[in-house]
Amino acid sequence: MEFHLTKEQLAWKQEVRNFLKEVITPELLAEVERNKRGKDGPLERNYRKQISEKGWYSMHWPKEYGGLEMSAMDYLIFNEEVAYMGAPFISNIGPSIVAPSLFKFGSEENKRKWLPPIKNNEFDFALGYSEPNSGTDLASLQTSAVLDGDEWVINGQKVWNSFGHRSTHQWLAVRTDPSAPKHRGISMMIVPMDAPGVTIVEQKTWGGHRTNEIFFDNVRVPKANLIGEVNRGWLILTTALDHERVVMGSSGRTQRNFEDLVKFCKHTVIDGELLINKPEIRMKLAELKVELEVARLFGYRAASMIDLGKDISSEASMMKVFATELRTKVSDYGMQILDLYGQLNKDDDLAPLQGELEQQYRLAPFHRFGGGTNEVQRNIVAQRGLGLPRR
Amino acid sequence: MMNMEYSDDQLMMQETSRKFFEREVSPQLVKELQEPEHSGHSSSLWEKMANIGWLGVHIPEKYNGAGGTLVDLGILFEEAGRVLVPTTLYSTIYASLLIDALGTHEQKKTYLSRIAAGKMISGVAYAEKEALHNPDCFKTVARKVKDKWILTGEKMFVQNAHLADELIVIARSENDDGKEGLTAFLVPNQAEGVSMKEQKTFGKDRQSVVKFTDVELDITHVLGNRTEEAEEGLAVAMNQATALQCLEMVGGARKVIDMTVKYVSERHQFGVPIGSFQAVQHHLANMATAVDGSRLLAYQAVSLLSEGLAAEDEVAMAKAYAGEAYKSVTVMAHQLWGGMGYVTESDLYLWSNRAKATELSFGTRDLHLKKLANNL
Ligand SMILES: Cc1cc2nc3c(=O)[nH]c(=O)nc-3n(C[C@H](O)[C@H](O)[C@H](O)COP(=O)(O)OP(=O)(O)OC[C@H]3O[C@@H](n4cnc5c(N)ncnc54)[C@H](O)[C@@H]3O)c2cc1C
Repeated sequence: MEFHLTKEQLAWKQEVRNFLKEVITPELLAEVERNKRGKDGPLERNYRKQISEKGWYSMHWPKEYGGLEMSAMDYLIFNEEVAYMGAPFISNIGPSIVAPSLFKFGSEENKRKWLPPIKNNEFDFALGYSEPNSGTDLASLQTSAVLDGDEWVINGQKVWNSFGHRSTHQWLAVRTDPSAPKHRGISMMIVPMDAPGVTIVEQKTWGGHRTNEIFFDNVRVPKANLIGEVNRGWLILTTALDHERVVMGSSGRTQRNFEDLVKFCKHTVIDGELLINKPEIRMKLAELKVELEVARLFGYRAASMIDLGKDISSEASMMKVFATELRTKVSDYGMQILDLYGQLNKDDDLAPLQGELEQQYRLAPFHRFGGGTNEVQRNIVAQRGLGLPRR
Repeated sequence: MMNMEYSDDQLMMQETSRKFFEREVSPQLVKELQEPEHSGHSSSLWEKMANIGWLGVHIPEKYNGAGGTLVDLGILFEEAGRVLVPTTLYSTIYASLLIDALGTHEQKKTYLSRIAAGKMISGVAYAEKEALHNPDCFKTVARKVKDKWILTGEKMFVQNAHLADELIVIARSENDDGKEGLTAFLVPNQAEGVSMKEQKTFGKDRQSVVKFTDVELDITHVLGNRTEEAEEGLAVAMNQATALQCLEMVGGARKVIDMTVKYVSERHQFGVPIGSFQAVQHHLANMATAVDGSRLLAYQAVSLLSEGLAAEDEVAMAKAYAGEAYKSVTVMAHQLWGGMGYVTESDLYLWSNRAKATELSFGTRDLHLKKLANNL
């Protein structure tokens, strides 16, 4: 047992933090905020270019594909730092969902064609899974692809497609055999967003985060855009989902919110009392500290298990449920500590923590039902983790 | 004998107000009024409510009200909470309770009649930058100069100040004999020296920072002509308004449960309604239990208050519990609606925002638990 990060890991953490401190400028953040519902601007593109030049998009890839072959722990440290520092979102879809699927299931041609532009951040992806009638029951998806000569012809509709409006490609789950049992007729394809017949319609969310409906009307892509084998897409897709859980289970942002909240309580006098001196606030903050520590350790456990080559499925689920519910708890209780000030949003000059807590409170529900709902995660913990019987 | 059911008259109040509100206040209207180019208030709705007599349910008949009880008003609040009636209703009723508790006969005649007739919007200016709940820390002061009062200071989180005809401002004041205390002033919005700036809230309800710079007020603007201190009447009105807000919250929470039951009964996954999964049913059962508990606590508080009892503990319990319940119900509703509840077109977020805003107003859970703990 060893509960410390190694010297190298600590140095890595510092390197990431120093880099982020340098590249995150108020201008960059303002541009990202301005373009939240549109395409990325020049500063954001430059920010991502700097990351890609460091080779960090592919830091966890094997050397044979041009990666740095860094450990899962290093990757976790990177993601936690990005969240902690409030850096503009770095999409993990290309480098951590599409690329690993290609390593494992892709043909040589697939790899040659798609890996280099992912590594260089020339292509970025949206996850085309959910449909109006297929959320948790993803395997019931209906968007179809039919082979016509050398091309797949795609028809159907995806929903809640994050980044659909600003990515170059869609990592798309389609039905290629309507007569097979539902899990055995699904394939994965890559579809360029500028292909004729693709229509994007904005969906606004409570969290202020833009998502999209994507319509496919006789969209044609080359046969070679199929990834892996036809009708074997479900395996690819579920393997990739395990990864998403680990990312959604990250608690870097929540940790930062907590630290900012503690700082606020140490400097704010309301009703004649320094907030940190109020017993009810002290006790609750202490309780949140315990839970944040659990979340942090869950993260380290998942990463170290991956590095030891172990299967992490139920541990990833546990971590995802815990961290996402803690996100609600910290922002919820934090707003209560701010009392009437908790109502102010980031547009108000007097908003404590620049309105970050209310924003996290509105973002939190998405984390709990996205990436596999917490109900489903609990089923996984009970059934795969504890071996309880299934109905 | 214990009886937790409505009387026939109360049942009628509930039925007519539910029908009226469901017809008049659609989520579409709520959203529209929250847009920055609107004021957050609907004067046509206001007029209709006044015509039916709902702005004066609790106001004595001699002041042109309906002479009903606080429970009658509570029923109206519960139904208003279901559909998210604009907050001018709540802030004006709070002001009316304060006028009723502290005002002279003349003041009641003037102001309560105007409120009942829908001719006055109001709100209570209480919290300050560094004093949210403790008036000992108020910096807003009134000095008596000859026969005038001069009011100076700044209030925050003043509900609907931008629309109010008169605000009720709670200030520290010095008596003729030098004694300090709290006084409630009726301050016309148009008075010289009143300025305000709207605050930006996530709930999109309208609250302002209101500044008073040497505002001159004569004795008719002092609630109760200051024959007595305002503390006691203020405590009464604040307790009443808190208990009523708990019913507004219960109404909102019940509506969210109704909508969620409907949603999970209609939404199918794996070939069955998602409402048939036990995980979903257990969440909803917990939500319903929390809301029934809140409803009993809230009606108990309102009912005891309407009998003229202080009901301090009962109000504190109701607010501590309802705050958590309404909020958790909306959090779990998001869980059960999944993506559909998160897109703004489903309107669910309107209740989520209100749940959080009401949790934070009139004291959070901690404040009320502390009151209870001190009374143990
Ligand atoms: C902002 C946002 C961004 C998103 N981004 C993407 C994206 O980029 N790409 C993408 O493909 N999808 C995306 N999603 C969709 C997201 O993954 C789905 O919302 C999620 O999978 C849940 O599906 P659903 O919303 O249809 O909920 P439903 O499946 O309808 O579930 C509703 C409720 O029923 C419960 N339930 C369902 N089945 C069971 C069961 N068997 N047992 C117990 N309980 C059950 C669920 O746990 C949940 O509480 C996004 C959603 C949002 C809101």
